[in-house]
Amino acid sequence: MRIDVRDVILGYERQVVAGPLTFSFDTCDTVGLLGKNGMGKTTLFRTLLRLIRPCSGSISIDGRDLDEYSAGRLAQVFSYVPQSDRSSMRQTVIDMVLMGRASHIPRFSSPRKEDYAVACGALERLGIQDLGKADYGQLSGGQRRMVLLARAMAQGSRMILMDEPASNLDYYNQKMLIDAIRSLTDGGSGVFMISHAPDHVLACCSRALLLEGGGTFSFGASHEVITKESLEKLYGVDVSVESGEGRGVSCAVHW
Amino acid sequence: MNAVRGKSPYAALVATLSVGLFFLFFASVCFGRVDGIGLDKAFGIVAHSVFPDYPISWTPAEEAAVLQLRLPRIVLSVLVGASLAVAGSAYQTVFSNPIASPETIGATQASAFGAAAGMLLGFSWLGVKLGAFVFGCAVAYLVYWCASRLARNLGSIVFLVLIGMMAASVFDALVAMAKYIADPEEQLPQITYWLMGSLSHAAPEDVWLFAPFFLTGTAALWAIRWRINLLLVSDIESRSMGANVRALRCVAIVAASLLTAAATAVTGGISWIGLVIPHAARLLAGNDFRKTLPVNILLGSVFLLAIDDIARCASAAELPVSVLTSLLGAPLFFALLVRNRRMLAHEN
Repeated sequence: MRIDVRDVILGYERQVVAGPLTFSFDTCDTVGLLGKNGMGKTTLFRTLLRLIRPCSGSISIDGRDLDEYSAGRLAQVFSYVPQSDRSSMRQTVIDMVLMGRASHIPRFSSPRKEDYAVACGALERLGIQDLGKADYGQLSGGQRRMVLLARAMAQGSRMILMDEPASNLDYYNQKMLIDAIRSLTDGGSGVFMISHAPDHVLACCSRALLLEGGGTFSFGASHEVITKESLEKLYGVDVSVESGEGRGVSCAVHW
Repeated sequence: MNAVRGKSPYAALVATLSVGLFFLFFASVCFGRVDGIGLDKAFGIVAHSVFPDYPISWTPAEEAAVLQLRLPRIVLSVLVGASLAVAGSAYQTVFSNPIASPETIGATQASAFGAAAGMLLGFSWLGVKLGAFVFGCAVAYLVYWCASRLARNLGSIVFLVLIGMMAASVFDALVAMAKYIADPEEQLPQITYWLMGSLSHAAPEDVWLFAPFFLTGTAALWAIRWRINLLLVSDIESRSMGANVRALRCVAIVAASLLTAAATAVTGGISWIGLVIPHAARLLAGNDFRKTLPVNILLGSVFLLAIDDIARCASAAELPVSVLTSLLGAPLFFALLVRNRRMLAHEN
């Protein structure tokens, strides 16, 4: 499905955060979103998920305005993986993943056999099927991210929006997440990911959106958008970027 | 896949509680101030009221004691105990806050004021109950409406708790005011006694009056027993999953308020059940509302029935129920907190 963002100014009530932004992507694309803190990355996600309205401009899905989609239909387009989960009442892993089936389950029903099957399937694809009955709150940070990703997969949406999927994780868990995302995208799922790690974006995403603040942004192929110059301009640090041949991508800051 | 669907410990729990309730029910019929009516007679009287051909082996006095005095009281204890527990569980899930209860949203206090105002104005008992009910429902919904207007796009549950606290405080003060201006000879004892909660005035009419509310509130919550769990995660998550968060919260709060207001109208303010029993239910059955709902019903019934038995049999004078639920409920809550502390602590 084609998503067109036209002259959108992102913001809350009366406070403008970013924009005007104009870009288009397909739900099977892999897009990375970079920008300094406060530049509007999470605001863009909230706007796409229709939690807030843009201050101006329009977003359309396959030509139809975002507002014309019901909550259930929108849940089939986008799912969301938060950075962390702060529920005060903990659940088992399988119950967490089943929540993702909400848009498939009739209003007054409980999950059925096929919902359990999809949920277990998502856990298996990520290699964490053994965690099914574990208490979510007692898992490590990396494991919890994987469970939240499984939940988004169980939702069966076209594109998964991920908010800093590998933040606060050690290298081992970062690799686990990145590998999982890559296998997802290899399988045809679209991913839109906010990240503070340009190397993660280069590793997983074919396109990138850089929010530079003050209404400027860049959008295009990730190896063209994420360069030494663009990162130095964005973050004000000395970096070197390697886009891939041989040893893979890397982005190193020279402290 | 079968490994994640194991159900037998839960089935055993529900079975145990059901059997316990059944036995406690009949034991309660046997005990009371009229000299102990044997289990066989008690069973016979109840059976006779349903099947008129059942052979009679008791005196009319015994039958009256059971049918007019004890049975309505016992049935009401069961229904009210279940209602308060279910309402508390619904509030705790909606507010995603283990300290939520009918008292937290101000529903109980508003009901108390409605009843006190009714008594001051000299309404009949039905009028007093109506006042309690109307105030309880109206304030619960008002609190929810205010909070959702204030927190429109931000979806913060904190507003609900804060405004609930404010409402609770205001109505507590209004009740105190009512007690102050009440006539000390007649109205004040009436108000005070009502506030302490009592099942001693339970009449068969109360049961018929209350039962539809119990059934409606519980049925509504049963209908959303899985979806209500979606309220345990942040709004951005639940909405992105396609949940109509506002509608869910509305249904849950209306159902819980209906249960609380009706219960308070019929028995006066009984506290702690809505706070303690949901915690015990979660400790026994986990955090899934589908599982805790039946456990709350059974545990709430058993708890209030046991307490009411103590209230009426423990001494010559009748003890107020709310006093007992507080004296027994508070330490029980503490014990649950201690036992449960790992489960309750935020771990991030």
